Amino acid sequence: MGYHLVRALEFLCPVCRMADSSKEKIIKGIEEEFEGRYPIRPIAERDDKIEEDLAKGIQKNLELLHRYSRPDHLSYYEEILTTSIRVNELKLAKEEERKIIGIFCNFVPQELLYACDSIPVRLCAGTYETIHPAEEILPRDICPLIKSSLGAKLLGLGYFELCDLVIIPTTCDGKKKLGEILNNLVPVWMLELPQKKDIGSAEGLWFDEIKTLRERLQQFTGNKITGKRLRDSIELLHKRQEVFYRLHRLRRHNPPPINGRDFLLITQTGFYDDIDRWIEKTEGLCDELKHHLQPATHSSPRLLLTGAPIIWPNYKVLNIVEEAGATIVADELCSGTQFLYEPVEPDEWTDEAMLRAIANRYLLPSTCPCFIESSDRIDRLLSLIEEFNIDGVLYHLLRLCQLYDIELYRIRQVLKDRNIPMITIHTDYSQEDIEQIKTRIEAFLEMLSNR
Amino acid sequence: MEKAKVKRPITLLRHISQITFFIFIVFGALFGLKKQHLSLLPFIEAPKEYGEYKSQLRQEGRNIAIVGPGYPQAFDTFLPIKSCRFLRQTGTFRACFMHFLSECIGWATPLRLVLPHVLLFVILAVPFGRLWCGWVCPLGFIQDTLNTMRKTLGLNPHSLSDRIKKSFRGISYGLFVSIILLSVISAVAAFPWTLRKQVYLSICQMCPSRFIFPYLGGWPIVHSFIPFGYGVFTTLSTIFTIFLGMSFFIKRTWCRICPSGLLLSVFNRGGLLNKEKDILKCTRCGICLAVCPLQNENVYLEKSHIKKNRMMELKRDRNIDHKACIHCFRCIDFCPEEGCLKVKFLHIKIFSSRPH
Repeated sequence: MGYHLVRALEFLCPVCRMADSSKEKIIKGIEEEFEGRYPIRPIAERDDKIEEDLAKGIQKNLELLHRYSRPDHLSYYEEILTTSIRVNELKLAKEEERKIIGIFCNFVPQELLYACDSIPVRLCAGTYETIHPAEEILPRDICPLIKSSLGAKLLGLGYFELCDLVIIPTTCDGKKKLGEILNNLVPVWMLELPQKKDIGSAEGLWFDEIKTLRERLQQFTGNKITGKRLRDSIELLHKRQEVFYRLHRLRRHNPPPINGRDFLLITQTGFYDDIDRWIEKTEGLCDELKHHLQPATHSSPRLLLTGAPIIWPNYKVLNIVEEAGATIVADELCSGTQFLYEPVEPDEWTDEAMLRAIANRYLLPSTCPCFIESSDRIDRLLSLIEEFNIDGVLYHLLRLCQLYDIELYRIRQVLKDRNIPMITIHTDYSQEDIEQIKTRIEAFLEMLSNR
Repeated sequence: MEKAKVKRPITLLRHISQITFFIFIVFGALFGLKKQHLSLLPFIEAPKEYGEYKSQLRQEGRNIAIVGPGYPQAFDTFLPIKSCRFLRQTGTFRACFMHFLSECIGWATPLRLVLPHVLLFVILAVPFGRLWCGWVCPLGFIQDTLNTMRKTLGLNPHSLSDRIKKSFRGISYGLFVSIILLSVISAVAAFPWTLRKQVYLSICQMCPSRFIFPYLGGWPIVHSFIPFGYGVFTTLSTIFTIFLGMSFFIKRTWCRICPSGLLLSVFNRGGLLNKEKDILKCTRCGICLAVCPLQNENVYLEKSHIKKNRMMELKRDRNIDHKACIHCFRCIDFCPEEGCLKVKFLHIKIFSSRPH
């Protein structure tokens, strides 16, 4: 009876409830996420040879890219990714006491990070050379992305060295355990991601998590996330999304004005770059591409790229595919299209509506295989296939990433039903299997051209 | 110079429509819209017998709130919205359709007088369904205005749980049925006159419009709480007015229980105006769910209603009409996926969602 009375009162008086919810919640604060009673002692040996190898790999990628006539604007993206311009800029920002926050995966709301005047940097790494140092701590049988990221931190490379804080969502097992190890080197917060993405329980859990993150960020950076600042950052990121969408749509043309590698290069520059500059340059690029659209031809096969993330400079598979004559015109990678595709559209500019829109944007439309169901991902693939007039699907699998591997069978079946050819490339960051992949892809492309 | 882009064209259009209709319906008479000046279709004039009932009530010598001076309206018709009868001096329409229904049953009006009005209602309601609620209804506009005030003040909105939403739907059915029943009671001569006159026009006696429109139309009426029968209705009406006032926090509270809306919602699914969703294009971002003023989940959930592994056999464009939908098209206006949600009239596409 008492319960029902309280509920009735609560319903009748939203003001009372509002007053109640505005009460300060007890938040763990910025104290350590991990107890860390038994710290590990990582040995960080900075090896010049590794950096040389890294530079060599990057140079090789660039050489392959420069074989084609490319838009002028692309030189900017290459500069950001290959030189230390941005790192130096971040160092300056750090001197001005702006916090630099490293993030993993696609689930950390960048709106909140920009709103508290910090700079987000996405740390997922694609460097083969940093895997070896990490194998001292991590087992061999773990996905190369995790090993590569930890190795980069152990060696103190570029952006990893600058981060004041790293936020990791609990997506796959690798990311979950990475946090505890990284915590010995840099403060780490874990963002608890629900395993389902329904609008019943999971949405509420995630919303609370985002709310808590806001409080923690406020304490960490010392800047209050006011409604106005949040709105500004939402509008800023919305602008970025709009520009990205423009670029994304340009790839519908036949032939596409930009190839898959360049597109990923642009997107992944967005991991690190100054957001205003990125928007400005990409707008310029879109204008340039629009003026140089070529009349339709039926030359190269149009491929859809899906599966495990491909991150600069690990463009091995892309290089092989595009050297063999095909073009990747669309992708469903979390390091590619999915990173910037979805907009945040708040219903209104009140505090709760904005936060809810942010929380929903990062959770609900995600196609990450870490959720219990893969239907949404298959829908997304099918709609991309239709929208971009796809001839074949390239399924990229990182060795030891079980999640993408498990979904493979279902997707293969769905595509077979619709008579869409698919090739699966099982690989990692190493360069050993290039010839083997080359043979398979050439055979696949020949099959496509005979259809 | 780049052309200024309207971000939400449909919502802007809707606001313009709402304001225009509000001024037209509530203050139309002030702009010279008087009966004398307009040539009217004679067959849709209100039945004359009404006047006799009123004079009978007036002979009782009571200051009954529901009976007002008989000003002629510019359009002697009944719209399927809250075009209220308490707007005697300034309004353009006679009353709402629920009032007509209640009065005709109460006074047992002959069918030949009733039919033209019913026909008009069907002509107006079948094509559009609850579009009237979202785009025309002045009471809806008042609720939206209250909500806009909250937004401007920066206060957080309040959403309802599933259970309360369901119970509101129940209240709306209850209201509709009780209005019809009370009208029947007032019609049957076997009941005592004291009871019959008190339940006469029960819709107008309990409607929140009774508290709002007289003041807008410049004709404040006395709200009597005695004797008992009127007292009950006046209390109900007060409760409903407070309820409507709560749309400051909860969007469109009254629309969730409005009996006129219930009548219109019959034509939502079977009507000519339909909404469709391409389930393949939907990324399930949840924006349509967040922006719906009536918290309808079906637009969002349509994708998960599909039976297991049957995607191949089902058609992709799925109907997403819902009985509680007021066709405000906010979901379509906000949906960022190109061509995912569309509005169709007679199966011809009117407009669809597009990226911003």
